[in-house]
Amino acid sequence: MKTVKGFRTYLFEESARKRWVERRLIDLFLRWGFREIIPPPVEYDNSVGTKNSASDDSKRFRFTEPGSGKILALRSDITPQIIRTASVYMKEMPRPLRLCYTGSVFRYAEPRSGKQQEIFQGGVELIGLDSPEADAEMITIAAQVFKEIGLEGFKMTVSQIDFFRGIVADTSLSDEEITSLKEMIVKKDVAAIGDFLAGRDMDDNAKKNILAIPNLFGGQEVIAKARALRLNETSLKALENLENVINILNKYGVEDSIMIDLGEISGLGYYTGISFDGFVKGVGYEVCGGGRYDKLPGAYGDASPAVGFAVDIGAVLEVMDRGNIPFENGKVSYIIIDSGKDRMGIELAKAIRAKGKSAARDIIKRDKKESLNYARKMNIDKGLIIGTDGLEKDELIEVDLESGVERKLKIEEFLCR
Amino acid sequence: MENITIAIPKGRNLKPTVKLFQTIGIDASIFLTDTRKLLASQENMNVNFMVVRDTDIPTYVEYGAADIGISGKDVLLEKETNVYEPIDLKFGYCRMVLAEPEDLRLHDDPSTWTHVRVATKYPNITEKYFKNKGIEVDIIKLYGSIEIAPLVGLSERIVDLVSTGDTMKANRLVEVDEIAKISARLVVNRASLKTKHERINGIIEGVRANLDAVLKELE
Repeated sequence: MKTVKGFRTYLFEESARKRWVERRLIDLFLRWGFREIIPPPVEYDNSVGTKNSASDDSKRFRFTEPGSGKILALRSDITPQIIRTASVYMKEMPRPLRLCYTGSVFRYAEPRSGKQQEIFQGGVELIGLDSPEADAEMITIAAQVFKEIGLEGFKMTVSQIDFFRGIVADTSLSDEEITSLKEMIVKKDVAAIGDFLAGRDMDDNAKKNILAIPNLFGGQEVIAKARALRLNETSLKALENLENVINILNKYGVEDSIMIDLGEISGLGYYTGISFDGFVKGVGYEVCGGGRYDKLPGAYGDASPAVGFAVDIGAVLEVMDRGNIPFENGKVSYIIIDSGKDRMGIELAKAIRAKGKSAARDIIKRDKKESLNYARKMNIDKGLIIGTDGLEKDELIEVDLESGVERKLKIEEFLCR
Repeated sequence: MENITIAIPKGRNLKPTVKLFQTIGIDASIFLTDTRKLLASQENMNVNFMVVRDTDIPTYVEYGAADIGISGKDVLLEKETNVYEPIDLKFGYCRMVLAEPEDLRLHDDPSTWTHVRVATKYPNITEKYFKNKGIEVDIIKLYGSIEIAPLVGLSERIVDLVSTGDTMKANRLVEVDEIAKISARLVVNRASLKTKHERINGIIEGVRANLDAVLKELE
């Protein structure tokens, strides 16, 4: 039986690492006053959770609902589900709402692209606050995620998408042309932008501004660099908003990990103000990303503004694995090897578990050496031998499976440690 | 100084790439003399090199196995990889064209096409080109000697690179349309530009400043 391409099973260490990351994320979000919700993995196609999404429509996994024959889809994005939940089920609750989640999204990936089709995410949404303060809080939490996991050398790049919107508003470019221009800017492909603008009937100032965007990238000096251009009100307001957010970030003390990139406009169809992405060395794509999407709640009849982000947990796991980042690995603490006839092991295991440690019993009859070998292969920490020749009823032998060192002690004494 | 890895292309862009990096103190000339060497490093500059096929460079850079690479625009267009392309290096210049046999061209009117069959090494570029024109296309993917496809009846037309045009002429093919201008690009991994900003920005600036001189020397 084969696993579906782009999906995988996580074994032992890997699943322990994944659980650990998810816990760390949720713990962090809870500490910032967010409350967890768990939306379903399936939605009606063309309904919430699948449309208005940051992900591409053509990448959804679809199937039909037995009985009704309606088309269902695995969610490709969780944010719209959270927004729907807030707009519909939490309509009467006071704002702002602070909501968080972990879960999988499903996105078709080209065969042989080496990409997974099930993407594990953890994220937050702050609904009902339209202020630089809210944006800065989001960016700070996102930066905290990296610290919480123990990832060094990360960078958060912050953008303000209205800056670009303001610049193209001064041109007569069609939506299609803006989309292709957007792609060139996102790639910082100055040559292609030059070709695109050459010979086009367009205001010289607008041309100059468009050409400047890919280079509006770096530290906080970028804002001043952008201000030196001749800009319309939309773009100027975007810069002012960005500056306000950056000022608050400086107060949070995360400025070292912040960069500005006004050419990061890939979420053009989705975000409505600040957007941001988190990068770590060695992973070529965003480990987390988010921004402000004030128009999305409107799709569900709610006028609340909203901002949020999601962490790509798979990317985090990859960095942790490569960098040997430590985590609580969920190792089984003890295996009880009971050679006696009166099943004393049951009591001992019960006592260990009651103390919050893990214990498995080696129920198969085999000799001690084989039992210990088995335990070693299963990555168990220590062996406990009871009921064997030369041991009193109230005694056990503790075997450190890594070093092989054995120690005899009273069960009572062992449990009191 | 932060460690970086540079992906150098095998083939026709190797020499100009080595020359270009030399101007900013990065020396990959070992790959010119030792053709079996695939990895190298230059300790005083904290640089690691890999030399790989040009078609693979965007992949290495996109996944972060290399921070920087030199890749032909044809490969970037075909693969649609998610990397930065901050500099047009201008060497490795050629054009991607749609071509057909002279005899066919005499009485052919592309504005009436609804369905064509095209042989190419670049199926994605070809598909996109015809999609934009609203023309259905059957693509036959080949790995080389594309020019002979129309001569032996494999397809009526081809999409391929031309530099001098001699090969096309020798095979009695003529250009119908230019699809794109192609040249080598400096490509950069997205996370690297952010997490190793100073180092990589320094290289980008250095390459920009020395490019014209290198191009002159190559002429």
